[in-house]
Amino acid sequence: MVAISVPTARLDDIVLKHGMADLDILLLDTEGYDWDVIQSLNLANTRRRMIRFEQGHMPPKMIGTMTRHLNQHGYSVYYGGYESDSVALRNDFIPSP
Amino acid sequence: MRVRGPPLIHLRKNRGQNSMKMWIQRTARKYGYEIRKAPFPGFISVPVFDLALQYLILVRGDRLTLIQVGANAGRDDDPIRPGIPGGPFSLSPSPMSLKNSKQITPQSTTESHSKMSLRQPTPLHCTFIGSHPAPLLLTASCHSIPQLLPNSPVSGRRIWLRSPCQPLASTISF
Repeated sequence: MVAISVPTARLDDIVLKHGMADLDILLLDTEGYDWDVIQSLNLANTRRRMIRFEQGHMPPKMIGTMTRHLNQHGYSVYYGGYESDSVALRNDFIPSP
Repeated sequence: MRVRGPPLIHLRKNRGQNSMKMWIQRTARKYGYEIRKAPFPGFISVPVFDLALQYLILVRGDRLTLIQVGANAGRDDDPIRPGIPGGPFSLSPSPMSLKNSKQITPQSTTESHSKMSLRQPTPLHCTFIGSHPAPLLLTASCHSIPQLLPNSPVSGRRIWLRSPCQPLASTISF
């Protein structure tokens, strides 16, 4: 086993630095680390209209915690089940007329 | 008097089966699993992601922004690629992001990466942050924002863009 150092940055910092706070789509596929990525996001002050994440590698408790977190920040979560990843859509995804 | 419906003995039997079935389902659910009747092979689930993607493409057009974090590199098994065939957008791995990714995390350079045919100029909004395996997850490699430039060459129905894609390592201080 060899330890190497890689440059890292918080996703929010990258997004804000490049003026993408109102991001349309955030696709996550981090092999079980999706909740870590979502936790690092400031969902209150930025707008991601759609977040797709991979629930297949997460334990049920973690999925529940993450779903509650997304619900609290104004997202409806559509469970993908065994067939697909899950999708979280902001409640204002389709603006009311 | 003859009563319509199944014989009573069958009802009692079914009730036992149902309660057993419900107990098993409840117990499985308690542990985070779901047991349900398998759908008929011809049935498909409502494709929420695909529908939402089509909606965003219609509404946002060339202002659509996206970021991918993780294993997908804009080509193989990419959930977004099938949703936009021949549309105004084109997804492709960025040569710079792949190059950087290979340099930083050689273990993540899969066969599919090495076989990628990379086009020039880089098509738009290929944004690729991260790669697995998990311990090497947070490799930031590339970023671009879709911009429809007036002099973009047009090929068929696809509009190829000169993307301002640059490696993050040179644009961001970590």
